[in-house]
Amino acid sequence: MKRESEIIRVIYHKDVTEFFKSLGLFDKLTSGEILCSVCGEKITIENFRAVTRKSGKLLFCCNKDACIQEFISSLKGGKNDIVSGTDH
Amino acid sequence: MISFLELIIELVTKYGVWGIIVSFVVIIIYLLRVILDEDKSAAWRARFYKAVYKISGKSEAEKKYIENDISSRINLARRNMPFGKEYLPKAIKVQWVEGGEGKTAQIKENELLIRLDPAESQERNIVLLANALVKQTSLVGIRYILEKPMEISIDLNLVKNLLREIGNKKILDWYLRNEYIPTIDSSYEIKEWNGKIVEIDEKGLFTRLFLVELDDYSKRVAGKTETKEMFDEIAGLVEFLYKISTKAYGQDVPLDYMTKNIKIGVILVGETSKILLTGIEPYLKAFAYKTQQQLTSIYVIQWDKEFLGTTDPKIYKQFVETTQKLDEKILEKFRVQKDFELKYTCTDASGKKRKAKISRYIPVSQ
Repeated sequence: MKRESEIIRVIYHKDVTEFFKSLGLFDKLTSGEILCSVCGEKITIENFRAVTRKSGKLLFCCNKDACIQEFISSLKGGKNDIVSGTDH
Repeated sequence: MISFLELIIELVTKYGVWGIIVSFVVIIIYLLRVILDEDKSAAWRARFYKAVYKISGKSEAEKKYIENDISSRINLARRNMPFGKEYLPKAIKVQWVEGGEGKTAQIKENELLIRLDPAESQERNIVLLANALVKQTSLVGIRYILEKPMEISIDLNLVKNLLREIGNKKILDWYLRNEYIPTIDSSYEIKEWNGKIVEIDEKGLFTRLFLVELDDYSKRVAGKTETKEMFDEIAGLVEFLYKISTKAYGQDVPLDYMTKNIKIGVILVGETSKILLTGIEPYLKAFAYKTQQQLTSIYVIQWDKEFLGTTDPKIYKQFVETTQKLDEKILEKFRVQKDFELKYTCTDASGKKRKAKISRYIPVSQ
């Protein structure tokens, strides 16, 4: 019997640059225009931790523990929704 | 693994050719079990790719190791987390986003993509995905009602339990030091809720009762706008279970919890001597009373003194038989459906280790 699994897509640490290029956001990343949607810090190749899409906008998260916890919680209808994002 | 090899050696040295034949059959059965169990086979794949990665340093081997190691550890651990008749959280499947020139990464609405660290930081990767899995697949349909400190406390304990079941001290320590304790220390409210949930969890009622009721609750309020009353009902359920979990010997605590959307009753078989002395009649009377209260579920929780089994096997046998009889009589006398029965171990208020059993009965409407 096939069990029900939650598919979580992950990005390899050596593929981060390629990933941003494939999103067409590499220039924005290098010019510091992409911010962590939780704490507002600039996202870089080194501190990028997660991304999601909400209401069409891409939201990014840095690698701070507090930020990633808040970021993941907000995806499943938690109370404190994160708001700022990047159009793509 | 070592005991398995010892068994093979013993068979060969003791029985010669027959030992070799039996060992061969045992190995075939073992291999078949591993192959047929996708989590166990993932664990073996992880070991293989880890070795390949250590020797070659190749990215493909590193990715295969990370992916298989995470899946096998989390999926094997969740099998020890019963949530009523199911397991909590859902099984995980790790999928790499293929980068590269000319490829466009597609991200769906609400989909979460996580960047993982190198294989050398695998503890961090496991904690990250355990967090994501718990938050994505538990408390479904209920998160919007919960106030943040309670939601965080529930998640913290689910992740902690999942990582504890992995059985790797390094991973659990990493989580406790870097996430669990700092989060608890960050807020008085989180500390308060967490303290209560830990007590409930220690008595085995967190995943086996509280989360089961929350799951039912989410179905009852599906589509409704959140209200303060809804959160108060859930907060009240935590308080109700906390009182039961911290009940001292001989102390009376409420055993029914009735609100607009939650109506549950509990029968405690907590004093071994009482049921052995009085028999099952008082418990059946209590059950009969509860069936008249229009409850949606009735739990029978048995905590028996573990030493009974070793110091006085006769009395222990009598206790087991009496409690089995209680279950049979409940199903015979009342219009209820048995939803599940789960056996586990826990620690009582005085620190004694006890075997425990929880059964959930659902009254069938006339």
